[in-house]
This record gives sequence, structure tokens and C-alpha cells, in this order.
Amino acid sequence: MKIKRISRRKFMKSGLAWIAGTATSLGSIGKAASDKEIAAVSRTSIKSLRAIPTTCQQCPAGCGIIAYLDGERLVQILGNPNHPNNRGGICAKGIAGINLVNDPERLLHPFKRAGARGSGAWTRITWDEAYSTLSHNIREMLEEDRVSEFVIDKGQDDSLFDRFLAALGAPRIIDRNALKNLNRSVAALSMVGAPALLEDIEKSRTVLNFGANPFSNHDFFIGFARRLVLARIEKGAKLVTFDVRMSETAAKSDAWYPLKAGTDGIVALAMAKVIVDKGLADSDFIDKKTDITLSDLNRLLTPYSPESAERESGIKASDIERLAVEFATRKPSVAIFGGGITDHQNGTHNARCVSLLNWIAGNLEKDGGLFFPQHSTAQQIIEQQSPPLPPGLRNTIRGIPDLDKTNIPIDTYFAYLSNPAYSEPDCQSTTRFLKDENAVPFLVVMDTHMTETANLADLILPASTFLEGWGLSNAPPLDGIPILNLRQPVVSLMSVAKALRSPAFDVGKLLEPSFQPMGESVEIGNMSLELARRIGGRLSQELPFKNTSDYVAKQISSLSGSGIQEGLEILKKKGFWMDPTSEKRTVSSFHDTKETKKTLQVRIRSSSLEQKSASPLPVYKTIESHKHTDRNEFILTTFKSNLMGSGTANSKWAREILHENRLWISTKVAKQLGIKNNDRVRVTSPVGSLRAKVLTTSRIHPDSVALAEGLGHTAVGNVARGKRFKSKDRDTSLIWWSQKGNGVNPMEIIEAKYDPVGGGLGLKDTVVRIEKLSGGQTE
Amino acid sequence: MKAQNKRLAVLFDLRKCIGCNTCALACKSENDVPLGVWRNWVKRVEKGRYPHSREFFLPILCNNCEDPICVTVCPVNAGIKRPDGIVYIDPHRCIGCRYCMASCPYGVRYIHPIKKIAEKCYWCHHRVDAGLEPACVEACPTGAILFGDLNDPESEISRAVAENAVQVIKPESGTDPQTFYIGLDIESVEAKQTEDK
Repeated sequence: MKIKRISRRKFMKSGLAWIAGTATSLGSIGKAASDKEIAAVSRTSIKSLRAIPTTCQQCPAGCGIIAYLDGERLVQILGNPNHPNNRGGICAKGIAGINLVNDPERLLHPFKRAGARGSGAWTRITWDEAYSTLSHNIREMLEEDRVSEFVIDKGQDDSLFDRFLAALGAPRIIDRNALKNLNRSVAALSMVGAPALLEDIEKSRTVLNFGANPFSNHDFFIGFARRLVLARIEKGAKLVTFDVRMSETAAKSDAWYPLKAGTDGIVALAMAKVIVDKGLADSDFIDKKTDITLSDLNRLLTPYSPESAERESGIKASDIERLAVEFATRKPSVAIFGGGITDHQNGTHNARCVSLLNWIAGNLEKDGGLFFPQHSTAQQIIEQQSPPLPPGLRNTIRGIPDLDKTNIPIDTYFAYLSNPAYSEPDCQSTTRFLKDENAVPFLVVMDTHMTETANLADLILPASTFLEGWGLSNAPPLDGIPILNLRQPVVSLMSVAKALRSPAFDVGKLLEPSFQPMGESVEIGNMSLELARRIGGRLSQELPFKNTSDYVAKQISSLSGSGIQEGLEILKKKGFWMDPTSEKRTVSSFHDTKETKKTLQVRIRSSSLEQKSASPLPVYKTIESHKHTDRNEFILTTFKSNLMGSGTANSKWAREILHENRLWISTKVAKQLGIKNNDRVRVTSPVGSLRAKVLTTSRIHPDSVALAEGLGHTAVGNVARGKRFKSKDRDTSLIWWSQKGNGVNPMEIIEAKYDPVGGGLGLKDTVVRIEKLSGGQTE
Repeated sequence: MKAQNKRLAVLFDLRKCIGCNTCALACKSENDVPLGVWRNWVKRVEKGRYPHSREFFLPILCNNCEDPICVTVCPVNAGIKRPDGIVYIDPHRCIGCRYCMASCPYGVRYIHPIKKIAEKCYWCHHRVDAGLEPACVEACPTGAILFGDLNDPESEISRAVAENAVQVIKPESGTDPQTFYIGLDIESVEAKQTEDK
């Protein structure tokens, strides 16, 4: 395989979420692609079900899934047993995709506002009218040279939509997926020049986990969790988790060390110090591959004794010492981290501190360690096909508070599968901003449901779900071989009679199944193409495709030279494609080379951070607002269950299991405050307050309280709001948790704080006060 | 494949269970189980004092017992045990009298809210008869659930049972359950479910 190491600049350019836009080659290849037969039977008729392989798009993991259709109806979604990443596994969210498609409350027609903004009065319009309004607005902005007044808020990446925005001369874009990992990617870029590295977790023997929860929520969720479980149970790996609360991963770790929120950095540095002091560091690696000497490192780590880390974090110095020695000696080892440490105002530094542990132990490009993302030839062709947005135009805005500050006027705000009025920190301010017709004169929302943001919109467009459209994406190749995933429509299957009447009918394809999104919902790709056609000029030249399937077919045909001889057909049948030319890359190629420090190195001293007047070396910064002494002040942390995703807010099966989020509080502290389990409390932060029920638990650090994200919707649908109602679906009249309510939305009280170094959100930094509500005050 | 030579069983490797509820949702969709009732679920149990607390995940489904008391008590012979070990309910015979529910030591049966007859997990026998695994087994992301024939010494489940210490829930009930667990925490069987979120 031709593997090219890609430059940092190019990596930035490759755009999209990095996972969607990159491919890597790990040093190890797990099980080779299997070729299991895919079958299922109908429970009622015992007939075989139609099985269509496609790709799940509910998180960046890109699991291969099989949709099973009984007649025209989607009845089951299971993992694709041949897919190298998830190997047949699937998560609850993936199965709940059935609810997303078959939801009787889906938004299926375009609407325009009829009354005052947010009043909830709508007039149904045709797509033609919606297209003319939008294309008129965009053309006007283009002609008057004020494209910068077009704000795009996208919750999901779509290659055609990105092409459209790039051709438009791309306006201001809020890229929610990139924002989520901003601190993480800034930290990784500053050290290794790639936005993230891949862990070869299946071969690790010691895994230190700082605030990640791969057993519930992770960028490679199922693929990663599966490999971690295998490593732990079948190969005897040790998994140690540092987290403020006992996550699913902590529950399934060999040990859980609760620590004060946001102090992971100093724990990692203290461990690094122990490793260096005891002479256990990989001095060869430090010498050859990093820009720092052992003595410099010694000096850097001097202030971080295990004792000082104990004072700051609460983790015993003896534990730090023991785990550090284990990490350095029980190899291969790897330190992983997640949102628990990066969603802080010191998140970028935290991530750099934990990464330092990996460099000191030399865990780079080694089996069971970390690997660089790599490109294969095929992926490069795909990228030429869909030029990503220029780096300068990506990610310039970190959400609505940023937008509010810039004072550049807004003409049109277009939100696609993004719901800032609900999901942004301090969402009440966001709502006020979006409601203000002077600030946002024209608000367009494209979504599958009537979200909180859609309620404020002037124009609502029905988006099709990921199971109703076409797409091509690169899956994270966890086994080392680049993978190309195809997403193809699996609903709604049209009957032959209906297909014959359709204007797109093609005699040659009479026997092939033909699909159409439900109602009048439209794929964003097709919407972009239609808009480009209507606006004309350069836009229509840059997007010369008939529709999304034509676009995918053209992308594939350009690949034919690199191994996909059968082209689209093989992808349609298997759902994914692995580069047959790629072979196992030897790990030693990285370590054996006589390359000097100039070519390949880990930059522990970062000039890019120095330019931002941040410390160029990995340091620990205390979060000032967390230095409270009042025992009634807590650091609010949030977490996301695997039942929560962009598409599962209104899923009946997911909400049946998770419909209530109680405030986690340490049993001991609750007792001191006179709060009992299930008591109602008022939780107050500097930006607002909410009422929540209490869960007293021994699974949380006494300085923290925790709330699950994704609940407490005031819109989206009756299921999301926990209301029983009659519909064509029998189950909606069986909703049994109406009395319990639908939880609270923590974003109402979370402050919009940012890490000054990485720029990412400090979502888990808000300090809240808790006040018990007496019986009379309960609702 | 002669059905009478088989002894089907399920094995949960609890060391691998990550409590993700995928099995519960796979069953809901496979068997069109209405809201409010479940054929399988994951029980979460919190134990211990901070900071030495633990959380256990315990997936539960019908044990398809070797000596099913629910079949014995049924007044209309609606409960049927197949030669391969699967216990199921004939929906045309069931009169919804709930005797079987009262007798089941595991509480895995429910009355269908619309059909008003007893239902439970029967290891997706429609899939098993077609040579497939139950939906929850196929869906499990970490491979924590094994399904197969204990009479076949070469089957994956036979080997796992032979190599590991396995437990069953409430062996004292005398029904000889055929759902086995590796790493079962006996206390969490009886413990109260921790309402988690």
C-alpha cells in the first residue's frame, strides 16, 4: 500500500470531522475481513427478510449495519458481521434508528412561520417555495458581496453540503462536530501534528483511562469498546480509570480512582515525574523522537511531586507511584483520555499532560500504543472528489456566544441537524438571541423533528434521516486497513406500482428496489444541488451532479483504478470496502529509520501555544473557580449515556429506559446537607437555576454533582417530552413514564466558558449551589 | 440437525458486559415488544462505600429452565417445552390467567397490554429454527452473550462453560435454569435495581 504521511496543514484541510476524513494504518491487523452470510427471518411469517447493508451515522464511529426489511417496513437493525470495526456488534442507539425513521412525529413537510417568532403558528408550504426563498436570499447575499452574513450551523457533516458551502465562498460556519473535540485536537496538533492518534487498544496490557467513557460514549464507540473488552478479559490487560463519577467504563475497570474535577493534568504529570525519577522512562525514544532532553524533562516535572498531586486531586501519592511504575513497566501500555478531562478550561493542557505520559513511555507507533493517522491512495482520491472546506473557513465560530460578540450582521442563519436553543451551554441566552429578529433576521432550520430551535425558525425544512440517503465516508480503520463505508437508503421502499408512477422511474431498474425518503423530507445533499441549480453561476458548475446517488456513483467510479473493480455494486452488496492493496505495515519502520529529529518527532515544547501566550510545555493549571471552600458548592459535570444521540431524543425505546436524569450527589455530602434520595432540589448556577430530583450515590466525587445530558426537551416530540398520545403507533399510547416527567436539561445552567488555550468549551466547569426544596415547593 | 439431540443454552460473560442495553433494544425490535414490558433487560446494582464503590450490570432474560414450573402450572397447557430446551407459550391457548407469572421465580413473564396473554423470551426460536442466533446475542457489541448447544462439546458455549466457573440465578428454585453466567455477583440478584440516571 502506498501510505503517505500527511502534513499537518493537509490534515487540517482534510476537514470534516477528522474521523470522517482520514484513514490510518495501524501497525497491527486484527481479524481479516470475514465473509459471513447475512440473513434474518420474519418472526411472524418465517420468510427471509430483505437485508440491506449500510452505515450508521449517529456517531462518528461509522459502524457497518444491516437493515432488515419485512416487506416495505424496516423492522430490525443489527451490526454487519463482516464489518472489520464493529464485527457484528451494534449499540442501542443504532437499533433505535428504527424509531427515528418510523417516528409518527417526524417532520415531513416544509413550513413557514405564520405568527410571531416562536408562537408556534405555521403554514405548510411547498418545497418549490422554500427553494425560491432560500435561493433568493443566497443570491442576494452573493450579489451584494455579503456572504459573510450567511451563518451555517451544522450538526452533521455532509460531503455535498460542504462542497456547496465551499463553492459559495463559504460563509461563517459553526461546525458542532469539530467544536466537540476542539481542545483535544489542538493538544494533539501541538504535539504530533495530527488532530488525534489512534490507539491500538486490543494489544495494550496496561490502559490508563483519564475521563473517557468508551463503554458508553466514544468516537469509535463499539469498535473501540469491543477491542478494549477483548484486551481486558481475554488477554489480561489492566484498565484503570480516573473519573469524577463512576462511568460505565469505570464500573468495568480494574480500579476506579475518583478525583477532583479537572485535576487529571497534575496526576498525569506526577506519574510522569515518578517514571522519570525511577529511570523507567524510554530514554531512547525521548532522545530520538522528541524535542526535549531527559534533563529538561526533569526540570519541567520538578514541581509535580506525587504529594502535590495528592493535595490537588485527592488521589493518594502512593497510588500515583504504584500506577506510574505499572504503566512504565507493564508494557505495551497506553494512556487514553476523553471529554472528562478536555471539557475544562484547562482541557488542552490536561490533554497534553496525559499525552506526555505516552511519550515518556515511548508508546508511539508501537503495538498496543498510539498510531499516526495515515492515508491510503483511495482515500486521497475521494478527497480530491470532495474538496473539503479551506482551513480558514472552518471552525471560525465556537457557537452563538461568539457570534453575538463579533457584531458582523447576520442575514440568514441556517441550522442543519443542530439544535443550539437546546444544546448550547446557557441555552436560554441562545434562545433569546435566536428569537431576536434584529439579531437573526431569517432563521432556517433543517431537521428531522420540530426541535426547540425549529420552534423559533422562519422556515423549517424536513431533513431525511441517515437511513434514507446516500453517502460515502471513511471509517476509522481500527485494524489498520483503510475502510470505505457506503450509506445507502433502506427506507422507504416503494412498491412496484408506486415506483412505476414515479418520474424517476427507469425501466432497466425495474427489479431493483427503489427508495424515497418519507413524506417530503429531503437529503441535505439533494437540497444543496437544487439550491445550486437555482442560484446558478459558479455554484451549479461546481456541483454537476443529478442527485446524491449520482454523486456517490461518480466518486466510486473514480476509484476503479485502485481496487474497486466492481464499483458501486460490491459496495451496495457489502456496505463497505477495504483497500485490498493495503498490507500490514511493519511497526519497526517508524523506529528503525535513521531519521533525525527534524523529520519525525513529538513536540513537547509547542511554538503554536507559545504564540497564544500559553505555556509551551505541558503544565497543570488550577481552575480558579473550583477553589471553593463552601461545602454547598459543587462542580457540575455532565455525561452522555449511550442511549442519547442526535437521533434518539424522540426514540420510544431509548426514552423508556432513560427518561429521567436525577442529580448525582455523594451520599455522604447529601447526608450532611440533609438531602435524601429523590428529594427535590434547586440547582443554581451563575446563569440560571433548575429543579431536579436527587440521586444519592457512592459513585461520585464529593466535590462534584452530575447530570445526564440529552433530557428535558421542551420540543422535538411527545416521546421526548414524556407525554402519552395517540398515533398510528400503538406504543405511543403506552408511554408509562408521563408522571415521572422527562428530566431536566443541564445546558440551562451551564456557563459558556472556554479554554483560553485550545478554545474549546469548558462544559464541565460550572459551579452550582444546591438548595433543598421543601414539600410545598415541589411541583 | 435433530432437535431432540440438542440442549440449547445461553451464557452471559458478565466480565464483558458493559451495561449498554443493546440486548434490550434488539429484543424490543425483533419481537415487537410493547412499551412497559420487557423480555430482557439489564439490571444495574450499586454496591459498596465511596471510594470503593462498584456497579454491577446484570442482564436478565428467561432461563428457559430444564424443569419449567411455569409449564407445569399452566391450566390450559399453553406452556410448551421443546425437545431442544426452549420453553414457549402457545398464544392461541393462553387465557392470560397469570398462574405462570406467579410461579416463575425470575419474574420474566408479562401480560401483553393489548393481546392480554402471557409472553416471555423464548430465545427467538423463529431465528434459531432458521439457523440464526437470538437477536440479543447477535447484537451484543462485546460478544458477552453466547448461545448454542451444550450437547455439542465443540460448540463455543460448551467450551466456555467447561473452561470457566459458571453460575445460574436462584439455583435453589429447583427449575434447573439454562441461562448461565460467568462472574455472577449473587448479591446483585436480590439487590434493588439502582435507578441510575
